[in-house]
Amino acid sequence: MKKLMLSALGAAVLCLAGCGEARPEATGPRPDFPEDVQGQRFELRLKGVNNPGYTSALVQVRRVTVTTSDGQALPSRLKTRQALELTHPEHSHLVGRFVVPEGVEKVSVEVELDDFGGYEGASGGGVIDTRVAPLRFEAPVTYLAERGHAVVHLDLGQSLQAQGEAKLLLPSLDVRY
Amino acid sequence: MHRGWKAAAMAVVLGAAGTASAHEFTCEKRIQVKGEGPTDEGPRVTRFPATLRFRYKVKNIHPKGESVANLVEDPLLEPHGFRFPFATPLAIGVGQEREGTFELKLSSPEACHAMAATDGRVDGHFDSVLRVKWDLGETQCGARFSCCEPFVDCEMACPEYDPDCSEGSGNNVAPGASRNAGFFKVHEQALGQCLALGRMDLGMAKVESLEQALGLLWASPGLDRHGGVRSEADARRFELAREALVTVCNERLFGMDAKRGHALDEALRTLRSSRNGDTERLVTELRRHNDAGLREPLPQGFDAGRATPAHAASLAVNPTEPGRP
Repeated sequence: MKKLMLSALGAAVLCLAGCGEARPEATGPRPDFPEDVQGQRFELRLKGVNNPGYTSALVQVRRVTVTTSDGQALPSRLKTRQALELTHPEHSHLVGRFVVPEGVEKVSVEVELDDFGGYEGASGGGVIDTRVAPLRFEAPVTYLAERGHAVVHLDLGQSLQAQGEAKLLLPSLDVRY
Repeated sequence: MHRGWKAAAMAVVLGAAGTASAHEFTCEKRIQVKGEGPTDEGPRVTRFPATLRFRYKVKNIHPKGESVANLVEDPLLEPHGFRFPFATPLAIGVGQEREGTFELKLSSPEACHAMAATDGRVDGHFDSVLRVKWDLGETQCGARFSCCEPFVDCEMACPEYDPDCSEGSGNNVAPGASRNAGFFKVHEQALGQCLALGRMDLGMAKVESLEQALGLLWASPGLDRHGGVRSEADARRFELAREALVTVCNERLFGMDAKRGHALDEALRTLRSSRNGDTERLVTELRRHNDAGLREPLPQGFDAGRATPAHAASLAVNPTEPGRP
């Protein structure tokens, strides 16, 4: 009962906490999922942390995939088309939404980045090479239900490694709920 | 509805969930080819048999309390015998860290490329992460090693994923300078010089301005102009149009090449027809050509301008997509 209450309230907090980004489906352009899709709905977000001084750090997401532990695909929806600016410390970008049916205890999340982003700083700017393996993590549903989301904190200081004039993104990150 | 109700609801949920993180970790993962020094651009395996040494460090950075790792794993290396040397749950005191090492042997270039293909991206690089899992979260740190390139810095049979590779003395791609999509995304001046030489009919997209060219480069292939999800086939066509734009710019700005031009012609025919064709192969081929001359200097007198990604992304507008609203 407590878990159900937490889940229900978590879903409410999902909108309360992120209403600036997550428009309620009733007033949005079209629903993310068909009405008959059953389950708890969660968000995946991305933010930049530990910025060593970039004035701009832009990355793009190509695909979000969410599966059960045994590889069954779950309904998921990419929610970002534009480049994500990771230098705003309080801004947690909505990347995707997904639905977890009852009975699933853990999901695997995979975030595939597009090929290139860009960075700028005091000493100049250039390309962020994001031609890397997808970001992957496993999320217990009980963790997701705490606040209705998983937030990937990408450490800009550690993740962007010099490669000539470009920066290669080899992720150092936290996943928090 | 009412701020009081909202705040109360938020407090109940967050309070019932407990404090988010009394645990704070960083981790570090380094790779080195045994017998070679560290390199700026990450280890590249060119001689075989090779031994790779992985060094791991997990550190508690919580200012006051112990942090407990419930699980420490490197999933892609576990099939090769990796095990973190400390039992979990692992409690690490304030400011303390734990280290471990692991060695991996690669017998041949083929073995290196086979391993590189297991990380979820088909290229000559192996990207892997150490994961440190704790209550209500996890910390990850990634590292990469790269495999030698066939007939460039090692002798090997062509990898299965590269249909353009041909065995022999192979310079399979255009010589001379070229730049890839990343370069043109952030160098508006260079891209503008390309567009000044004429509009582009890329079939599924017509590009007539710098802003539209930036729109094609900066939009994600996964969603269309209205935020609708693209099918995988449509996403591939979008990527092909994007790579074709870059190839056109390479041809216009840095000199024409017969092999690259032939690949571009095939790509444009595919884009201008209703058939999908072998878009995945064509995307790979154009990328290969666009990447081939990255190390070559740009022609004397060519001024690409500064890299200004934020401004470039702000200018981007959707190119015209015939047949779509």
